[in-house]
Amino acid sequence: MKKKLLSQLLFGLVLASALSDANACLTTPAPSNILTSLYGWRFHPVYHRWRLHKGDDFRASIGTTVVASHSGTVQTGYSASGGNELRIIGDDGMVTRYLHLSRASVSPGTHVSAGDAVALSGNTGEASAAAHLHFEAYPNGSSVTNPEPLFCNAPTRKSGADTVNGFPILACDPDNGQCDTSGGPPATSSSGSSSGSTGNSGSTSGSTTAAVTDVPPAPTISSFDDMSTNEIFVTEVTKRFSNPDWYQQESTMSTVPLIIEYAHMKALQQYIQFHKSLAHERVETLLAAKLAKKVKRDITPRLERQRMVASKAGSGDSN
Amino acid sequence: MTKKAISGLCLAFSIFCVHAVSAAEPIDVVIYKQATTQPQQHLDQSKENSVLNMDRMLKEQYGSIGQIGSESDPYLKDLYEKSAWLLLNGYPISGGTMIQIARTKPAFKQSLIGPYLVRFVDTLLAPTEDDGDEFGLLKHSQIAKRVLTGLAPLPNRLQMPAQLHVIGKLYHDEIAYQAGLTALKARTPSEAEWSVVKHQLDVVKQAGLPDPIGQ
Repeated sequence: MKKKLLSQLLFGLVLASALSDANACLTTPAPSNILTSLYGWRFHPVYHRWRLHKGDDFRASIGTTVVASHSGTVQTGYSASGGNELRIIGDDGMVTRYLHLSRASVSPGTHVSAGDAVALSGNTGEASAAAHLHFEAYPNGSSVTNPEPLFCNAPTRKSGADTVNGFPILACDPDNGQCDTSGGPPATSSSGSSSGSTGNSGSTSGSTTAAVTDVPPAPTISSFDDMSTNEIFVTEVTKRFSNPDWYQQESTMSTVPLIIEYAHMKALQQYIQFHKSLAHERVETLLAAKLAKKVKRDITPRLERQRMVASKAGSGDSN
Repeated sequence: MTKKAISGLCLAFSIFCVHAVSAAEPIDVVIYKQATTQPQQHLDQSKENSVLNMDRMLKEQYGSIGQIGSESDPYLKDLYEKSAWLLLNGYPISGGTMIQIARTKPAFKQSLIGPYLVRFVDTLLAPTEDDGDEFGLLKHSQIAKRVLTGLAPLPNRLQMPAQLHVIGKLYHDEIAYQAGLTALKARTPSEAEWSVVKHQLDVVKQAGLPDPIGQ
């Protein structure tokens, strides 16, 4: 009897610890589960300014369903740089922020569970250059932390194959001649999530590879050059014309962001004009080709007739 | 006799060449020497303060479990200290290169703080989805990629000095730029190798990126 009680108690304890472990990690908020840029301090090379990128950026096109990463109560808000924002105040004190949203799909005050649909991603806010989900985590509600290790499902990093990945000096030992000469960015790590790195480590010498293997997750950089023309149009147009908050956002902008917005609109206009002129050119070429074909079709029998007339006249003269 | 003299001369010349190459100072030493020649106002944060600040930042924001001061390997500790000093004084390329050198050393595997410094350096110049400005991190990293590809034909011994020189120019890191040049000269590149480096410097110049503001 005692034994049974003890074993039940043990089972209960194991179950409880398993459940608490399961609750400790976060559900991935974006269905892509792909990180396009990571948490960490950045140093601007022109302004010589330090800035903390307080969260991870997930790939998420406009209108993608964003889910709650943990259970808690929803708050919504708006800021000039972060655009439409949603916060979840966790039952355990964890606070998470979801930025640049198109809109929230739950009302403030709603209690949600991990995995519940809470918002649609977007491209709102001055600080967003392309559609994505910016995700921040505050484990004790006040100080921000790197959210990447907190996810139950380790996110994948965007492939940096066509961009510099991380620090632009190769990790190599010049004095021993142990260098990667592939010309790419440094070999990045690690822990199963380095699929996004450029894979220079493949050609790196043995000692370098060994040294690099044990480092914690390294970043992959984001880039917007993988957007199709259609995606650029959709992003730019939707941002301005499908977002009911846009006019309000615009009215709160200071002079510099307004001038930047003006330049963006001009650039977009020119971009559209360029594509229109390309389309015109194509239509004109097609029309010209058709006309040339018609002319050729028309002129061949005429020429034939003229040749016959000329040959007849020639034979008449000789007679 | 003449043959013997010629072969002797050749031997002497090759010994001289090997000596010249091996006598080239390690890159971290060249960077540090270059840093100490900088005007004091450009490195106003002391090494002690920089190390303290870096330790605090790595603990609070990157969840580090070690400290630079408690690094057991003296060479790595020295590299970390110099790196923190250069990085927090606004020299990302020279400071980051110290860490890139550290991560190739066998003792790095046992280092507690090293991986967090690598993490810091790897994200330092990586653009985010918020970087849409024309002269920001995105533009710089695109040019850096082009430059690294352009420098690829250089032999291993010249890779890091050349990268330091050209990437230092790109990111306006005067210490890295000058240290790269000094290290390159010490490794006696051929005319063709120099022209590869010069061509990549032209790529950086032609990119038309603005100079740092407030310097």
